[in-house]
Amino acid sequence: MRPFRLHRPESLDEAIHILEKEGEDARPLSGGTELLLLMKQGFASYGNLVGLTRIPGMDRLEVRKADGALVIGAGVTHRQLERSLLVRERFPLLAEVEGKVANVRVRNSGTLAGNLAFAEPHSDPATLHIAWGAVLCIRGPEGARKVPAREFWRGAFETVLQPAEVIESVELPPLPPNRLGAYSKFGMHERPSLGVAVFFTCGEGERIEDPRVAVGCVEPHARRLGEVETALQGKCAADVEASLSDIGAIAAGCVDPITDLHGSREYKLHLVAEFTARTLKRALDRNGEGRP
Amino acid sequence: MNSAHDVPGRKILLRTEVNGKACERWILPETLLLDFLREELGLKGAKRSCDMEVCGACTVLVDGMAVSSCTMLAAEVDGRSVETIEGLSDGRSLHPLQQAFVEKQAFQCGFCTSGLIMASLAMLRESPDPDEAAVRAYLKGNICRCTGYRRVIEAVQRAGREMRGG
Repeated sequence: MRPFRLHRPESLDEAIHILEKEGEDARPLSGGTELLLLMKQGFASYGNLVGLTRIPGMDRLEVRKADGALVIGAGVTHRQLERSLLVRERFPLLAEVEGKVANVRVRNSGTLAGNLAFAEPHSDPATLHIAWGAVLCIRGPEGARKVPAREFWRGAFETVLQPAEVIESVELPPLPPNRLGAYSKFGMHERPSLGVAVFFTCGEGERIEDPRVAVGCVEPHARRLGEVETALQGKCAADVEASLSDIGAIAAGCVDPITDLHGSREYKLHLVAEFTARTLKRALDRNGEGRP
Repeated sequence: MNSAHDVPGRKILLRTEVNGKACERWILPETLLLDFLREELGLKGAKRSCDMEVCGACTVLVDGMAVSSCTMLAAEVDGRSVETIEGLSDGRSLHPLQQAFVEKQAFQCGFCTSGLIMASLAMLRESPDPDEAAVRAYLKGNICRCTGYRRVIEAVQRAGREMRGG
């Protein structure tokens, strides 16, 4: 690795100040599970790393009283989310997905916010957070702002973060009992080759309302599939269940994967169709689980 | 800021505990934990293999948690404790995990073994009586290319019984 200076600021303001001062030669460092990999291989090189995880308050993990949202500080690791009783009880789908990220060592070091900010295309949390409707709380030299997860990514390894901006926390809205969600991943490598997240509300007469379907890993960044959501909106759950393969086909028609290490374009299109159908089925099967 | 820890030449003061012993060294910031353990402290049990957090041969415990020392800065263990395979035995008797790996013949070349044992140690502390599925899920990221996993799983479950005092 190219030599660098390691900064260990005691506040987020100090971290932002260092990032601003050092400009493009500085990067924030969280768990390092992705950044250090690239730096070791020589694909990335910085003269300054600014450690974020030990800044007081970064380990924040709580349910906000006002609206019941889960607030996840930038220093919170995948494994903390997997094991937290609060998360397991109130946001079990998050605990489930976080418990299957990479392997236990990566989950012990890597943070959720770091994963999102790094913008690796093969990210489980990114796909989940887009469909869940998460909000990213960003801090930078100009102050704080909030960005919905679905607007955060711009490309592979590209986000809307401006110079010296960092994610301070991630906010996940609570799911009402009739809001169903499921996430599926598939792959033979350490990173997923496909991720599909589905959420919808099962409303009056078992009709599907406000559906959100996101697909990740097969394009430069995860995104919602509007055509699939339109096809689901207002449909009866039973009708959806009877037409899962048609909906899978719509999903495959929305994405534009490339052939790479994870498989051919045709293979990925097949995966998208199949796993969109399966994930929808899993969410439908959860109907009634949370009700008395 | 880390000014108090700085010396000219970018070195930082690392204060940690390795296998129960306090340890203080000036290190370069880019020093990886694996290199610190192997080169600086001479603890060669953790191995460099894939060098990308996939294989688990470099597994050590930091504050009791399994991590890939190949992709963690040594500076990350400042103020924290590190456990390596060298700390498991007192030199006379083997740790129950080591004993179980020997008895079950859970290794051939042994390159992955220290990592497997350290990951298993972290798991058994969290969950002293794991079923086979739990062992498989936890050790998913520790790769063995010669023995396979059946004997490893049996060894871990046997060690768990031993450590529970059964």
